[in-house]
Amino acid sequence: MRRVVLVVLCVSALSVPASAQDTTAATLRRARDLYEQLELERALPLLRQIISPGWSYEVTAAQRVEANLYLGAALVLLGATDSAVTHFRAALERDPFTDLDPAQFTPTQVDAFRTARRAVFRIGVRPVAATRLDPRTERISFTVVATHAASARCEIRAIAPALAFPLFVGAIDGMREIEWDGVLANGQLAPSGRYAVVLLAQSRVHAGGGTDSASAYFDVQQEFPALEDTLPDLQSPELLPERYEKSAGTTDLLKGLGVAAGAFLLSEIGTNRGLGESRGMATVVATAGVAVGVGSFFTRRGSSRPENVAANERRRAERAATNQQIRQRNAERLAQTILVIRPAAGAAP
Amino acid sequence: MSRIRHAATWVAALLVLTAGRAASQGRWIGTGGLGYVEQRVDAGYGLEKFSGLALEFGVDGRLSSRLAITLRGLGGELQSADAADLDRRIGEAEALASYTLASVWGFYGGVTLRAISSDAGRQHWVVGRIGAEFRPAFSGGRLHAIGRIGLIPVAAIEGLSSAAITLDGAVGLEYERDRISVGLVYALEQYAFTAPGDIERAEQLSRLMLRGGLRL
Repeated sequence: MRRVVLVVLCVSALSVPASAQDTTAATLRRARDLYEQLELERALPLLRQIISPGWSYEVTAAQRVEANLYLGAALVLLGATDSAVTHFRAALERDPFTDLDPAQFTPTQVDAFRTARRAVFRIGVRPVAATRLDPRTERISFTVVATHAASARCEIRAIAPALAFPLFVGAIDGMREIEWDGVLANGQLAPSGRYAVVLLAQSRVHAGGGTDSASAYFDVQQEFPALEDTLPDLQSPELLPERYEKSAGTTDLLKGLGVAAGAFLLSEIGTNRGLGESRGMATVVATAGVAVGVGSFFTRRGSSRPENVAANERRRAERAATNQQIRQRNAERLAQTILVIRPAAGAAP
Repeated sequence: MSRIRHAATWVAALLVLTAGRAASQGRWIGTGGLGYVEQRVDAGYGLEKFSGLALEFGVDGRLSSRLAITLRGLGGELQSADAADLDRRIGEAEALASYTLASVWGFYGGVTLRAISSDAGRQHWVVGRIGAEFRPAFSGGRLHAIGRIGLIPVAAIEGLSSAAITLDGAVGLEYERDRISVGLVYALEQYAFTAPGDIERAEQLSRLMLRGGLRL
């Protein structure tokens, strides 16, 4: 028995907010039913209760707008047009997207609503819907509204780095769709980050008055296949020496002299003394060795090595060509970038 | 003598067979050369000198980064310095292998079949040689000095006793660029034999070869 009581208490505690909502929703539904049955005198108190400060239950913005809308509609039918317009204005001030469907309401009610729209100046931007945008073929649509004719400027603002560019400049009256292809004013695809679509407007009906602004934030995330890294520039250990070392000439001279010495040594110790001396061939090779050594000594000390310069140029060109191909492939991948757009609450992080 | 010739034939055949690998890898260099050859002989009757030009053709093949082979043939006519002596003709077939141990040096070994003839007769030589070869490069890497020092442990001549172990040496230069190579080499061999009747016979063969090569 005690367990049952505990469960009932828990369920009751959990259901309190839902009951409050339900109470407002139920009252609004009942008022709407009474309105539909033209029992206006009974509907009005219920609707007034919902918007009164004394209503102890939670009321959402949409419920408050709907209550004002039905109050206005009911009052028009009861001949209290001025009061009706006041309630329509209250609804519009809270939500400029509010509208009356001519198929459901009488022309008198629609006229009163139009009067309210002319009297109040409010603009709005509908929250951005999550979507995946292919910038090559698709557009994202922002819905904006002004309660009556206005000069408007709708722009995209990036939070970081800060930049802004207009999407639309002109007159709007009522609701309007403004499209964006995901490209910035400089032609670049919008980088990942937080953005806002901002609407600034000035009433064309209220002379010298009525300015308003509205905005909706959204996040953009670029999505593309993984990119390749380009190869780093060739470093010295990977390149051939482009100049001979200063000691190269001396070393070559010693090698040339070594050849000469070796030739004479061979002709001395390798020959049979009994067969006579023979230095002619050794002299030829020794001369060649000395010539090479001396020539190298004078021409190669610190001089450039054209064959290595050419080989290095070839390697650099090959590296550059490879990197160009990588950049080309990366560009092709970036060209397939998809923008993932998600609504964001509030301002920049 | 016939055993030595058999061994030489086997070595030559082995080198020819292994050359197939070099051919398949396209590492052949065809070589041709013109040389001055001098032979000095003292067979107990005084010094005889013969000299003349010789032509040489051959191929060098690299079997791996370390192992290379050389097959060469040489032919030439040697004029006698003494008008009373008969001129000689020389013909050689040589197979050499070299194994590089480091960038500047390695070992070599090979067999040379040589025929020296005159109008009076013909001598057949079989020479086996082994030694160390040095190839230090000049700056730039295209020009090499060549130094070869070794022994001739086997030198058999028809009609003569085996020669004592003697010196084999060569010094020269070789230049390579792209597919072309040019070399100048001075080589020397000397022999000492005991001829029938205990007569000491000394021979010396030296040559100066100018070689050109084309990578095939």
